[in-house]
Amino acid sequence: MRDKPFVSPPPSVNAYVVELLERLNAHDPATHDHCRSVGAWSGLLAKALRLEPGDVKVAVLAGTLHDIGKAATPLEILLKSGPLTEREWERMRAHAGDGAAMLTEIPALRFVAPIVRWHHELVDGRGYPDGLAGERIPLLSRIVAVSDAFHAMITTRPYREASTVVEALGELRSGRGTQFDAAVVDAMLELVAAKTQRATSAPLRDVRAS
Amino acid sequence: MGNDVGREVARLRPRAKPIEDAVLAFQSARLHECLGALHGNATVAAALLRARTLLRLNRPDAALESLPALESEDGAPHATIAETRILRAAALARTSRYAQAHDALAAAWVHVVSAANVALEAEFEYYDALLAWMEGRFPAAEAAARAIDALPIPEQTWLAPPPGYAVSLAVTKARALEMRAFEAARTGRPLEQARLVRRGLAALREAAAPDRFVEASLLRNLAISARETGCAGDAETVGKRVEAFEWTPDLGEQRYHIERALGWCRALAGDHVGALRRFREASKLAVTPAWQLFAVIDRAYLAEELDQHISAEEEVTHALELAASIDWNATGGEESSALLLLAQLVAKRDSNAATRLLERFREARKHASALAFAPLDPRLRGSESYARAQIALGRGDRFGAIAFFADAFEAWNDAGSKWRAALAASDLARLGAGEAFARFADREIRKRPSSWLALRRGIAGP
Repeated sequence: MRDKPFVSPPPSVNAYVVELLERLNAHDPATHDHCRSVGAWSGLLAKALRLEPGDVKVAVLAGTLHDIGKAATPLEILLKSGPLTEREWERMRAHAGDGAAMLTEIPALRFVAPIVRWHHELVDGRGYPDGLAGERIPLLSRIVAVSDAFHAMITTRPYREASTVVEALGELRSGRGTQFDAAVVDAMLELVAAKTQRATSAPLRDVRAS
Repeated sequence: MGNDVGREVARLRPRAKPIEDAVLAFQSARLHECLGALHGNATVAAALLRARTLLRLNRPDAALESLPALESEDGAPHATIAETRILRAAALARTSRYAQAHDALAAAWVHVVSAANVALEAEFEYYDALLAWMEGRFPAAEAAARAIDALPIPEQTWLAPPPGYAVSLAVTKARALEMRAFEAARTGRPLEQARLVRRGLAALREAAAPDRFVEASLLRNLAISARETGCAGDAETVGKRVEAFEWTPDLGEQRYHIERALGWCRALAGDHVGALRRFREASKLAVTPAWQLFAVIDRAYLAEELDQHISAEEEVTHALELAASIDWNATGGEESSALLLLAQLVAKRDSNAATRLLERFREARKHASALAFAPLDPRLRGSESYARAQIALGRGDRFGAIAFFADAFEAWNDAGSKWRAALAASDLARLGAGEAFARFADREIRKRPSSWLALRRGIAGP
């Protein structure tokens, strides 16, 4: 399951990341906050999967930048409360490729571009933009995908209420092995169960056993 | 007309001050002023700061009432939900509702991660450590506190807390180091205690904004460890900082402890007048009669050791009156060891009265708060045995006295408080318990040649 370890991000990446996040924040603060959160979750998941410390840092970086392409997505699409048209969906889906293209232009961040490009790929091959399947999707992209989905579900958006943690974990479990990497989902279930044992132990046991 | 009245009412309604005033007051340890500045401010940020302030004022029930009932379904930001639940856990722990505190912390975790705020993550770990400490799970507390120390000032700077977050990572690091210092004290490692407190003070200097409440607490601990280790450098550091520090009425208790500990540092250095002056100052600063009692006992003890018998007698009488006026079961646990010190003084005069003080101490200890350090202090066993030894002496029971002095010696020596061990050793030597005690006492007391200990032992002063 392990990919070849990435190198640790060089220190100079910080300035680029801060600038990119500032731009994203100016465009859409909600996406900016989501990116920071996905970075934190990706790092935790990478640690839970016992990746090398350098890879954990890259997971944080990739999670943090995964939606950077949305800085180029029109706000009327990003913030639309009703259903998107097919054309709008197409524009929305372009953010993965847009993000990768933006990062490719920055030499210090080029190594993150593939992870960002493929964070919407599904393990059954039905994802976008390239329809990659299984282990052809980089592990860090699979980690970011689970983090992205989980955080999106537990966060209130203008167009929908947040799910509870138990509901969100249930969704991840139902997509285990089709939408999401099974080992990454298992790691997320274990991680959340271990940390929130007292508050939600019974429902979480249900999710893990179902 | 109705609109005019409405406008007039709105005009007359007291306006909430900007929250920045309250944050500044909080950071400067002007806690009551902070509460005043938050008055009328109905924002979530104000509610959270109010809860923090009430926790520092040791009013956990009021803090619980102040916390907003936020759930993720309300659409509140993850950071707000996390902070609310962490503070709720802290307040629940302070009211001994540990299971509920665990639940609140567990429910906070997902939001702590989602907030991607390293200062919030550190606070989560800190309260997890504090909860473990209060439950007596000391290795777990130590491990959680160490984890905070290991948190890097984020090289990934985009994980830095947003501006305006009340407690910075540096402050929580300092508090975690202080908790580890308590663990060092509990396990009889006063030098390590001092080292950790010094690191805590250094961590605070890294903070973007001051936190005078935490700094005062660290200074208090450094002064106390200096008293035990006899480290003149630490005592001097604290003494200088105390002069420059902007003390506030809400820091009275910390300042009292510092004055008292520095008084003992002066006494150990042979400056008995300076010590008595510090004790008098401490007596004035004491925020409760129980704390005042300690300072009165300190003065009585030193006066007696310096052969100022009339003065000692007067202070002992005052101390007994004070002790009788206190409801010891309601003191929280830190203060009850004053009864042991008083028993030591009274034993020579009235061993039955001293025995009653000892019994009252044991009863009071049962009511100690889980946050109180005194019941865990390894020096406490020494103090109790020393009091029992004095009572035995008062009754003419030489062998009993030797046994208790020996136990006090062992407890204080193991706790790393060498001058206290030397005090017991000199009593043992006086009772003919063995040359080894005499040698120990002489060796340790010679390090403090001008102190009352040297006078008592007959070792030449300056």
